[in-house]
Amino acid sequence: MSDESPAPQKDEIPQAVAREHGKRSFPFVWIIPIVALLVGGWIALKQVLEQGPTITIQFNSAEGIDAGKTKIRHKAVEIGIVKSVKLSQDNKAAVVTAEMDRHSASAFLREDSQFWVVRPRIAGGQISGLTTLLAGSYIGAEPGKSGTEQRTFTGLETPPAITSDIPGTQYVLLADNLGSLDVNSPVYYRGVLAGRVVSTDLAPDGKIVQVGVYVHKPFDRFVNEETRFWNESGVDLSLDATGLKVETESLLSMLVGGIAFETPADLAGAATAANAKFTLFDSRSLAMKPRDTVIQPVIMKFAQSVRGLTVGAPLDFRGITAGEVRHIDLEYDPVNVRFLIVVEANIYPDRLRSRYRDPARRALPELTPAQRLQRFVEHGFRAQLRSANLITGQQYVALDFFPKAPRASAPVRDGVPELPTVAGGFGELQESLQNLASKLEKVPFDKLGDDLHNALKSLDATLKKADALFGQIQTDVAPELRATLEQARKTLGSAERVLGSDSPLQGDLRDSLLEVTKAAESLRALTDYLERHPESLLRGKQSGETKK
Amino acid sequence: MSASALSKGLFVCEVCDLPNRPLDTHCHCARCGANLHARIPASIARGWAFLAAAAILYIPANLLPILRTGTVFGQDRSDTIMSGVVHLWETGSAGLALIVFIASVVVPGLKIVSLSYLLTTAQRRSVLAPHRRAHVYRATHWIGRWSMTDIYVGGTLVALVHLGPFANIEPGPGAIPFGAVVVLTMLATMSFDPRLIWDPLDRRHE
Repeated sequence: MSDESPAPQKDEIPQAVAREHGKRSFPFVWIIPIVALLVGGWIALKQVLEQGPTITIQFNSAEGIDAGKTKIRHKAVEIGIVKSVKLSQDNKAAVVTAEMDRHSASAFLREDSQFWVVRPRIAGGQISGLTTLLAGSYIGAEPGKSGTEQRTFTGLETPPAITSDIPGTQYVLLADNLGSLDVNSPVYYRGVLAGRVVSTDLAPDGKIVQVGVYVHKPFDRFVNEETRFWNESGVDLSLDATGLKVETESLLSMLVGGIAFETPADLAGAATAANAKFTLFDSRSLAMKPRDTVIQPVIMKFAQSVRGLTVGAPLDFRGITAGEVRHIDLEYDPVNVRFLIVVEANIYPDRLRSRYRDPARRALPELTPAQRLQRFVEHGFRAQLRSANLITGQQYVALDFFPKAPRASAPVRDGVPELPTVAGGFGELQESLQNLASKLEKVPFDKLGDDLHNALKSLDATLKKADALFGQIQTDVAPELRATLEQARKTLGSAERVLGSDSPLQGDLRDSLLEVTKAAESLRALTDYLERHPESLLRGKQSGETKK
Repeated sequence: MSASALSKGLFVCEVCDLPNRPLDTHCHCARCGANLHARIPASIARGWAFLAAAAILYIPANLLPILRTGTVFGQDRSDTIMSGVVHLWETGSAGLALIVFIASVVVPGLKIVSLSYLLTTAQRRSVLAPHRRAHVYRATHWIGRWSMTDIYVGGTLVALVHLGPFANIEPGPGAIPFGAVVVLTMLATMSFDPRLIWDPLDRRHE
């Protein structure tokens, strides 16, 4: 069986079993790559279609912005992602390229869209962006309203205080000084939060600060042409002719500052448009002062010191503030070789005019304020410096009629009438004090001293008599002592005789007398001193040399 | 060397290795009942089909993020395989980065390349370096089971890290193409009949 025949093996190998169903004609396996192609193509198409527009934003600093990580958000909804952060060509800014979400991008591709980096910040009593402390910064976005499309933006350094979803009106306030105001500082209307400061800018000439405020919807209808805005920052401590005044606002505005507005109740102004300009006053009292339309400038010349008179000091007419001091200057009068203080002031004649004037008295001739002033002066209308506060030395100018004053006129120079003055107030007081001093000098203090000396002499004599009396009294009021002495005298009869003159009682008595003598001596010294310095009775003992 | 069962007119059952004398029509194994063919039918065509699908999906698998992680601070990040590798490398886990890179990028890529090499040579009935090709096939077959590690780890993380607002991991759109690439390359490897490497040699010897 060396022949290797396959036949017996083939018998061992089993016969395959026939299968019923036929051969598949279609290669179904190719469905798989087709499906894969469709899926891949669909994914690719989706990627291309969802590719949003790319924008570039310039920031001063790209602090906290990471390419591929930092998101652009609006109302905390992600609307884009930063793709790259580069320096601008002039190396002065950071240029952030970001891809926006395709569906929401269109509203943000406007000329006036705003972008800013959200970082933790504290402003206007609000802490914002706290989540960015841990999660990193993001770029905030605010859609624009302009119809012009734009893809290059300059990022804001501070977040805008107003967002499109809060209706309201913006106004511009003009102030000399920004004080503690800042973007986001609150704006109050009668203590209710009514808006926020949205911008603080210096006017182009650098002399005025322009503060943009945004007043929210229901409150902006309380703003009209007569509305007054004032700075509510902190504590307003003022010391003027009316005394010390402390005004404080809410604790928050004390800390962070704020603006308040109000319209004087008796004034109904016309409605204002957005971005209307108002003056920002320093305090409520300044803001709510009646506004004077007629201003009559006057000058006054004072011969006495105007120490304590400040610019802004009132011109008081019988308790009514009729004007205020604008300027204080010095003038040399070469004829009389003296200096005069020239005080320029504004008088507001309208404040002196009654609102309830009787129409029947209209017969008076209509005079210009200057002419009326002239008429007043002829009837004794004068200005006088008066002390408003003895402690602080504040002075004010009082206007009044002095019928006994010498006749004067109000010469007009450069259209400004000069109001004649009368001495008074503190100057008058000083004069009368001087008179008092000279009268006091005439008092005969020397003679008074002699009289006093005589009186003291008799006092001395009286005291001596009192000495004797004292001895008598002592024996009278000490009967027990006498009894003891008698007892002692009885017991020590012989000893008393020996030591008679040295008895303890006599010794005591002698000591007492010595004391009294000393007292008399010091009284004499006092009288001597008073003789030399009689005024010490009034002024007390002076250590230095005394005036004769 | 050339003693293949086919050359003796026999079909070897692919399941129980029993040699069968074939019929002219389609037939079953006499022992286990599995379908009998001389070679895996349409092996090269199916191999190509699976490979093409895998190659197509390899692109989105690598370009789309496969994992999205969110933390309590809202710092979401979504990583593609490559950005994950770069992130790992930059944060100091160079070893881990290398493992991920090899298992997720190099291995699937190599599988596609090696399979297309095997399929091309088998299709052209090449007789060149059959041993090397056999090694390549075995290596491809062996490594197939390991290329699932990434998607497996990702799937485990997604299932485990669901801490609500504190930390969250979600599969990204790239996860499905990535998994599909792994499965499709394995299917392509399975559909390729390694005996095709040797058949041209038999034919030449006859």
